[in-house]
Amino acid sequence: MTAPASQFNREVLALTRLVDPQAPNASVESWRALTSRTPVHDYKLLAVALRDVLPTLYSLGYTDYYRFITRLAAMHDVYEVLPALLLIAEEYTDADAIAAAAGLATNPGVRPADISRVESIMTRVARGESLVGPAGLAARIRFDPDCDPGDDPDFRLLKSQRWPGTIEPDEYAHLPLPPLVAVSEVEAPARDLWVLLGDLRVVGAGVRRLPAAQREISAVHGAAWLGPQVLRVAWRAMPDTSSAPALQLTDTLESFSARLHALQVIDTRLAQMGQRRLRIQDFIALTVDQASPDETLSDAAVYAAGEAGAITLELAQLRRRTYEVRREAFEEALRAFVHDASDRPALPAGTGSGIGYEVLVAALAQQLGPTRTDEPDFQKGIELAVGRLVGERVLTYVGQDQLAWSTDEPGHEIQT
Amino acid sequence: MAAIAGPPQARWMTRAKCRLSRDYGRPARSQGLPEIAAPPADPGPSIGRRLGAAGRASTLFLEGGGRARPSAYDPHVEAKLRDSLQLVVNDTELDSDYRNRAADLLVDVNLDDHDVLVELEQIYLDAWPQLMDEAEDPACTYARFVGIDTYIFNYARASTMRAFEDDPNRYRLVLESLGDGARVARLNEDLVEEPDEVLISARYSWLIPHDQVQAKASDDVWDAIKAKTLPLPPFICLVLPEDLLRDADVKVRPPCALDAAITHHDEWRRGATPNEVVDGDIPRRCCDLVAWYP
Repeated sequence: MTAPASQFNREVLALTRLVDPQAPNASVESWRALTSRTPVHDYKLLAVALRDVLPTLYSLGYTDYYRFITRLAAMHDVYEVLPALLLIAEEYTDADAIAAAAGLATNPGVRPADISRVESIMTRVARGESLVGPAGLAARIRFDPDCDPGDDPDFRLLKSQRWPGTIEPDEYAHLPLPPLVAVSEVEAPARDLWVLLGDLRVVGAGVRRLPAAQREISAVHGAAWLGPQVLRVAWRAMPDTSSAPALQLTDTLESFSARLHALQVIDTRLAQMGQRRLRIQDFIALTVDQASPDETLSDAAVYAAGEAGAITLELAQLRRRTYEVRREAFEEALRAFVHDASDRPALPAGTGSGIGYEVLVAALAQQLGPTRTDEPDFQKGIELAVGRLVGERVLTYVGQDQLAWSTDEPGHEIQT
Repeated sequence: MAAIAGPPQARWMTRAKCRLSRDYGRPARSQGLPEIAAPPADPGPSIGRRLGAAGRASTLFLEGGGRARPSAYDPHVEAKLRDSLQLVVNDTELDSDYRNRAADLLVDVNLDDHDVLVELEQIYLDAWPQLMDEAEDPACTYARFVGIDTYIFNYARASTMRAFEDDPNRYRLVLESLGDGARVARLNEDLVEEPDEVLISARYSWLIPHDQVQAKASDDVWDAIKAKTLPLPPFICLVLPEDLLRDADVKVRPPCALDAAITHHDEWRRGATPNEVVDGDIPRRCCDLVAWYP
């Protein structure tokens, strides 16, 4: 059933208020929480919801959250929030709104009317009538490829990343600048666009979106925005009309292994282009670390990562980084499972809520040996063991690839 | 006296301050205090209402005097709120009044999450004076660890923040391109400059004794803190010497579940991190070193 936009907006508003903007990995966690709840049928609803909650956060005075979501949108090139930012920028000359709007306005998906409004604001900034000092310079650099960044090396780097076409590819690769990836929306599988943008941010890439419907942009402007250093990624073969190299993805990104594979393919291509490599180990660590028990990451995906030589190393790090009480409970339960103890330990309330299902599966499989993982009894045993580890919740095994989480409240069963 | 204990209108003053003190380079820092989540008496013809088509959805949040309508059922939102509230209910060292109010809220969690959030913040605000009554002078040098994103967005001076806010990854690469000495010098140079400016606001002021982590490598810092309070390395460490904290009249106290719940750190457990403290707002002049943990 289709969820009405306003209902999704309320959920997005609640989600934006359920983060600590200064928390570790706050942007990663928030982006993943938002994208995982975006209705599959229409990924654009997320952009619309973010556009709609920004004025609400601002007008209610949730300043930290407003800034956080503004930056989250800007970092993931969610240009659809531009009308909301423009309103705040025009009414209140809000520096954060102007800064974000200046960057987002360069996306070719922006409506010409909104471009005119940004140009008007930038004219006042250039005249020194608004947003003076480094904020004004940064905004003008983001918006205008011809803006002189002056001698400050930080602002020169800002210009090089925003307008990579203004410098030579070799020079770009030798500067401390992130690799740039532009993701095409054309025929992108549901939600995968957002997922890939988030994953690319995690591994250290700068991202921009190539919308399906693009306005006309000048050849000079477009070449500066999408220079030969930028890798274009799409799910459909792209015409060779740009100086930027292109890469076609073939899979959807519904599983951990597919996401990992996509990043590896992109990383390989960036390396061929002479660009900086991606930090794929960060993706593995953060994804496994943050996975919740009701996330559908299969043990097959974990083994795919294991075969890639990643998961075993990361598991050791994860276990060191896991909250102590959870780790003790985890290890105790693991021992009980391995030795099939009849008197299984009770876990402290909530200790299971942060343990990823695939972490458990990987750990259990590592203990028991990979050859047994194909046996149905082993699969069932693992799933039951996971069920015992989730504390207040009860996991019921209802068949291969089907797990049912139930709480002590009737009617709240969640199928995964 | 506690470092700061502001009036309930702090949230709205924050916004006014943000507009009035705008330097067009860096917005004034927001709430150093527990935020007041109640909406203004007159939310006015909200900017959401002037947004046209986009604004119509926004006004849905504001109908009924600014309160949100009951939210659609979202198991994630509900579970997160439940965890936060349960944390408060389970903290036996907290005043029973606050625990009872949190328990009452547990009943309403799935009815209206926005109102529950508002009330949770109100509990925190009400408890604030009592909590800070227990605060004491700092007895050692403290440290706060943050990630690069947080450093750029919240602790860096205006020019650095504006140059890198679009992509803090670039700041990381700049730092990594420098030698050890130059990197630390750069970090310290980039810290916000105004001595009296609030560097670490109250709700984010989770600190640990510096000597517990000073000689540790990044990976071992996780063990020292024993909580998921850090991103992946590299970390940036703000060092806050005891004498500077005392000079600024900063008081510290052990954290309670309300401190954790208000920022939704649901994995926090009392005593899990030895000697951990929280306090009120900490001004910039209390920080004399920014260190790098690769």
